[in-house]
Amino acid sequence: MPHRDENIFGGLRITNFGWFWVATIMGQIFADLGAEVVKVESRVSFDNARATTIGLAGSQGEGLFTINVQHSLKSIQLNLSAARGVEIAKELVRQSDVVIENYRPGVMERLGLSYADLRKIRPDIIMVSASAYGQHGPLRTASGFGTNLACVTGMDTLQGYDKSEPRPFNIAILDPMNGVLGAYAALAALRHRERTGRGQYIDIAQAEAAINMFGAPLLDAVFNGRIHHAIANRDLAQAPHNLYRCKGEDAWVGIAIATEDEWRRFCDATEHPSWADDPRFADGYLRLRNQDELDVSITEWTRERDPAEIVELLQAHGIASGPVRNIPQVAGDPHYADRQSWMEAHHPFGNAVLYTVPWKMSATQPRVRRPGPLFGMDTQRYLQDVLGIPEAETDRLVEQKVLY
Amino acid sequence: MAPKALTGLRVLEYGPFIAVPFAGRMLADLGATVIKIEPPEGDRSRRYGPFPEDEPSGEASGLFLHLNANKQSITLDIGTPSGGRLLYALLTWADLLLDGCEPGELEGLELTSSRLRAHNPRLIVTSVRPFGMRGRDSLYRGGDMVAWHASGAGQGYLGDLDREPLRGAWHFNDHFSGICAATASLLALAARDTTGAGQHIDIAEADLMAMLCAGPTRIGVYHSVGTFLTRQGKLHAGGAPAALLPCKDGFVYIHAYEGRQWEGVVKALGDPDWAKEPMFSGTFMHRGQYRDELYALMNDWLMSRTKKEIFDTFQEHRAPCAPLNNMADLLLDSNFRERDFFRAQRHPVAGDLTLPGPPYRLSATPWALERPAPLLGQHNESVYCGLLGLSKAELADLHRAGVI
Repeated sequence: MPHRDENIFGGLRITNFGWFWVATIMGQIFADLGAEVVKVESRVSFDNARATTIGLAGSQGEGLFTINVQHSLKSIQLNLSAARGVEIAKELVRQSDVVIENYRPGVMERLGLSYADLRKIRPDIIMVSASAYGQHGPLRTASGFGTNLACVTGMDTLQGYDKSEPRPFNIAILDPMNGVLGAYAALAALRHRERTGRGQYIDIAQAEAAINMFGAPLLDAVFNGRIHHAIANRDLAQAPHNLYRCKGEDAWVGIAIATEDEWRRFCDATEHPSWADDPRFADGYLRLRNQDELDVSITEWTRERDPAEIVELLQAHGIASGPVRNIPQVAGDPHYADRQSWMEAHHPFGNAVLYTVPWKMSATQPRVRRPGPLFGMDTQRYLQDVLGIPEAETDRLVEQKVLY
Repeated sequence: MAPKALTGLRVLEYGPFIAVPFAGRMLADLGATVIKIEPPEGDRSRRYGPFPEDEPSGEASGLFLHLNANKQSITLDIGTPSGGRLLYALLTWADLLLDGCEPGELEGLELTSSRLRAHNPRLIVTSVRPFGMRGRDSLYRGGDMVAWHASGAGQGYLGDLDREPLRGAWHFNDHFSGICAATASLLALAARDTTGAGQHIDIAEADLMAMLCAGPTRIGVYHSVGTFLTRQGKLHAGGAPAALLPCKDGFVYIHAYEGRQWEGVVKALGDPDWAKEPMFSGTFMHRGQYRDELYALMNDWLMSRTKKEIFDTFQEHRAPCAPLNNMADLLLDSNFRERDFFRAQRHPVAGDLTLPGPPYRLSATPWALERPAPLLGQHNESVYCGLLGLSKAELADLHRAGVI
């Protein structure tokens, strides 16, 4: 029997100076497997992520966003504009294996908390810095959210209805992507430390990480000077490949057909032998060229039907097809329930539904330890436990606005 | 030569197109030995392009060249009994199998992950499927678009309300799946250091946007208070300014969330009188109620300036803003140049390439682009004869019989 152990990172300590989304996800991946990950925050530079999205009744501005993205983390209030605050931060780093931060480049240096500073305190420290454009270069201090990065990296030009109508996602989806990617880099560094005893510094430029997803469109610019633009839900290599309107309000189904075999099965499943015989659709190349007409024909069939009925029929014929869900449909879908994608957690302001862990591990399944902490709820206890600061002093530090 | 974080890690990659190959690429870049198993006709990304001078060649497809650099390639028909035996022999060698088979394919060949791991108990098997390997829809076929829309990422966020929801930019979901597969594989490797045993990881492409994006921003809110947002066209669902806005020579994305960032926007716009109106004071969410008025008032200023002029002015005032670049713009961008981001590589068939550079910069164990993507079956002899001890005559027989 496999050894079931959900605490493979038990004893690993991560001090997280990160704010908003990207750094939080990075830490959470370790915390769900037992690492102690503490988020350092302060009223002085308040993390407005806490005010994002509405909250539970009576939650006084604690939004459901942080209750989710900070799940399994601890929170301490520490004022880094106070000298004593920085000293305490350094003491925490001395006890830490990994430091994560996503301040604007230069801020950690100004605080005396750069990698050069921290490795003097803890020589094998692994430090991960995530920023928009990286730690050096002309744009190092440029302002930007994930939404801005989707624009600057060209991602938004590849998304939309067509060339003239790019559509931004408007939510920083590069943040969770880069958060997972940052955890990957930190895991590799931990493996190196395990073998050699050496730490290191990791500079993540979120824009550059994103561009790693655009290999083919980028190489078309390199090879042929061709600029790619959005093509809605279509594909460059296969047709039909689109969303089709179904019966009901704002109801759609996705259908993607790659091979001749799938195309024939599709014609069978939909009882349209005439499509299979139509010279306009006789092979993959012709279907791509004539996809406007093809999509019109398919829509005539789909719009009389319910998406679920279509998906079931096509999947039974081995054809890639899926529902186009809205938020309530995702939230209530039995497949996500089967996969335990959500859980209900007890929070001081009531029960909250959290996302769990997006990968299922057969022997060491990561586990949500608790909902995202209230602002600073672990401050005194954590500093007493980890640094042995007596209660009388933590009380005094609260008064002095060091723990603030 | 600098040490590498994943030296000694032995990876077999069996999965086409983007998700699993991107995971394999991430591991290979940090020093893992990655043997890519291709069917005898090659990974279908070899046919996708783009090709230099638009001349199709299975050895010069841009998509393949980007995703498979730093790897070795062998060909193998795992569906034949001899192919299955060779796969087992390779699994004795491997630490990790990255598996991107079609749903049901491995089960049909009686190559389930539990069988594979019984053969090598230290083996980690990471499987990526459109809907995962457990749950109601686990046998459904999919792909990037199908998984994306099933997760609510289209209906919930992207597209105009009176038109079809949109797919994310350029196989975003596929790449995100690859990043999660690489990360979860390193988690399992860390677990193996503790437990001595491998395990199986189940990743559903349709989970990722549902959990990591919709989870914190929509699902939690829907469960708790019963309200939900749907796709919003060009504009941010909540506050303002946060939008892709047209200017003289394209678009810029302006996103000022914090109060001081809004003050920066106002200064960048030259302190216009209208900005003093009460409707534009207060919070990001408050301004969101008047976003149409706000964007109309900003329009003249934006339309008389270029992307670059707007970006520079906004940066002077610390207001988050970004120009909409296309892929060709990225190649000329001075910031990426100064950071030496794009990397040159010479490929024996495709010639001179420019590829995206490091998504993360590790100081002690740097990311490295060392070898170009392999030719189809380039490493058959070194792997089958060198690693598994077959004779050259056996290799020729296997080739003749269509097994490799």
